[in-house]
Amino acid sequence: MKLTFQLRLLLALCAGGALPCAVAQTPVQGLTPAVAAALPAAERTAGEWLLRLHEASRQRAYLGTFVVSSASGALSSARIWHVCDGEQQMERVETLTGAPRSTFRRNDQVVTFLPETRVARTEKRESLGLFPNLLKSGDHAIPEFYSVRQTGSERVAGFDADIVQFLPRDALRFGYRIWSEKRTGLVIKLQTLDAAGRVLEQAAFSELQLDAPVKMGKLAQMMANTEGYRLEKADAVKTTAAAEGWALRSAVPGFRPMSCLKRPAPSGPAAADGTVQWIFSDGLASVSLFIEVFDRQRHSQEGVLSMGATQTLTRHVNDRQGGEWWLTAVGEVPAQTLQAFAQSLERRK
Amino acid sequence: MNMDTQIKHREQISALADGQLADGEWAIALECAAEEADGRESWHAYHVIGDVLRSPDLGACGHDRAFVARLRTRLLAEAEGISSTVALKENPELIANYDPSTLGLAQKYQENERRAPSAANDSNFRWKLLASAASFAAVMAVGWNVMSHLDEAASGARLAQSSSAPARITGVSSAVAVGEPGATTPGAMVMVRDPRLDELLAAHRQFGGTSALQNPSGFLRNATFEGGAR
Repeated sequence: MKLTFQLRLLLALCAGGALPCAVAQTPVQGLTPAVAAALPAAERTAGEWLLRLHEASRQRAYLGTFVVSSASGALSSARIWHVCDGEQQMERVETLTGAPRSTFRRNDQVVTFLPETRVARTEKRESLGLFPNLLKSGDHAIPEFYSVRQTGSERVAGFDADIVQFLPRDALRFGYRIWSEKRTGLVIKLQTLDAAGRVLEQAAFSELQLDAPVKMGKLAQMMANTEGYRLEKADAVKTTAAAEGWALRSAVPGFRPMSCLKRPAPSGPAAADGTVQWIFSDGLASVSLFIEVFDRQRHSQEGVLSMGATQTLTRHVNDRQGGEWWLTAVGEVPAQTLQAFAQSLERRK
Repeated sequence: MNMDTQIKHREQISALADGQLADGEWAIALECAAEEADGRESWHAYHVIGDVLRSPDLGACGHDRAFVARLRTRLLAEAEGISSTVALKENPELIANYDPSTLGLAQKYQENERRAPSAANDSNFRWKLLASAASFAAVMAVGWNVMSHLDEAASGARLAQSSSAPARITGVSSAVAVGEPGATTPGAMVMVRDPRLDELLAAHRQFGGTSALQNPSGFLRNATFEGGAR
C-alpha cells in the first residue's frame, strides 16, 4: 500500500512537471524550465515567464496562421510551420499578404526567398541565440524596468491561455500583453501597448495546430533548394561604437548596447563611409541607431515617424570638428526614448 | 408558419447540414428538411452553398461560358444594325439552350440571400470579410505617419524627462500614436514611402530585433511584417 502511494505521488509530480521526468517529457535543458513550468501561474516572476514562453517553442511542432495588425490599419499575415527536435529548431514563414516571400530558419541561420525577383537572402541572426542564455543566467535587468502580472485567462485560436502583462516602470518603453497557452506556454497572441494602454500593434495566431506533423527533413530540403535563385549575403561587418567614434553622453535607462555593425552605403560618393548600426536592448524592446554621413540631397526630412509599435526619428547631427551626420533611430519604443538617444549621441573622434 | 419559426427551422437545417445536431433536435430538423417544401429548399441551398465555398471551381460554371460563346457566334452571324435584344427575341432557343437547372440555382441563391441572410450566409459573409481585408492590406501597404512638427515632439520629450507625471507622458505618446489623427493637428501627418527607410527598417528587424520575446513571436512578427514595409 505504501509503495502504491509513493508511486502515485511520483506520477502526480511527473504529470505536474515538478520533476524533470524523462518518461513524461521530452528532455529539457537544465532544471530551470521544468521548475518554472511547475510553479502556479500566479507566482511566476518576469524571468520565469520569459523562460517559459521561450522554452515552449523549443519543444513543440506547430502549424498555424499568424496575423500582425497595427493601429494604423496595416495588416499582414503569414502561414507558419515550426518544428523542433530539442536540438535544432526549424521554421518556415510564408507571407500571405504583400509580395510573396518565404523565410526559412534553422536556429540562427535564415534564408529568405523572394520569388518575384528570384533572390534568396542568406543571413545569420546572432541575436536569436542571445536571450535564452541571458534568461537562464539571470543576467538581465528586465524586472527592474517591467512589472509582470497575470491578469486572467482567455481563449485564443481555440486554446485556453493565461494573460500576462509586462508593464513598463517608466515612460521609456511600451507595455506588452501576452497570451500564453496554458499547457505549453506558447505565445499565441502579443499586444504592444502605449502608456495609455492603447494597442499599438497586435500579433496573434488566428488558427493554430499544436503538435502538428511538421517534418524537419522536408523543411531542410526546401531551405536548401536555392536553385534558380540569386544568392545574396548580408554584407554587414562587426565593429564597435568606440572604433567608429561614437558614444552616448549618458546611457538611456535600461538600454544596453548589444552590438555594432557597419555596412557599405547603398551607392554614391559617400560609399566608402558606410552606415553604422548601433543596437541597444532593454531585454524586451530594441533600438537601432543608424549613423551615416549627411547628404543634403537625400537627408531633408527631420522628424518622427510612427508605424504600429515601431517609431523612427531622423535628425541632422553636427560634431565639434564640423562634420555633418544623419541619424536614423528606429525602435519598438516611444518616440521620447529615441529623442533621449539622439540627444545623448556624441562624436568622439 | 410565422417568420420566426421559419428562421429557426432554417437554422436547424443549417446545423443539420453541418452535422452538428444529435438526438431530438436531429430528428426534428430531419423531419423538417424532408417534409416541408421550404425545408427541402433550404436543405438543398445550404448544400449548394457549402459545395461552392469548399471548391470554388463549382462556382465557375462551364454552362455560362458555352452559352456566351454560342451567343457571340449567333450575334456575329446576325446582320449589322439589328440590336442584340432583337436577336434574342427572334432566337428564343438561345435562352432555351441555357441550362435551366443552373438558372434555377442562381434564383434559389438570390432568394436565399434575401430571405435568410444571417443563417445561410454566415460562412459566405466571412469569405467576403476576408476578401475585403486582403484588398485593404494590399492597398494599405505602408502606414508611416510623419510628424513634421518635430518641436512639438521634442518639447513633449523634455516635459516627460523633467517630470514623470503620467498625464504628460500620455500626451506625448498620443501625439505620436498612429491611427489617432485627431490627436495631432490636421496636416501635421504625411504619408511617406522612402526605400532607404524601408532598408534601414529591415536592417533593424534583422539585426536589431534583440528581444527576449522574439523567439518565437518576435521573429514571426518581423518575418510576417516585413512585407508591410515594402
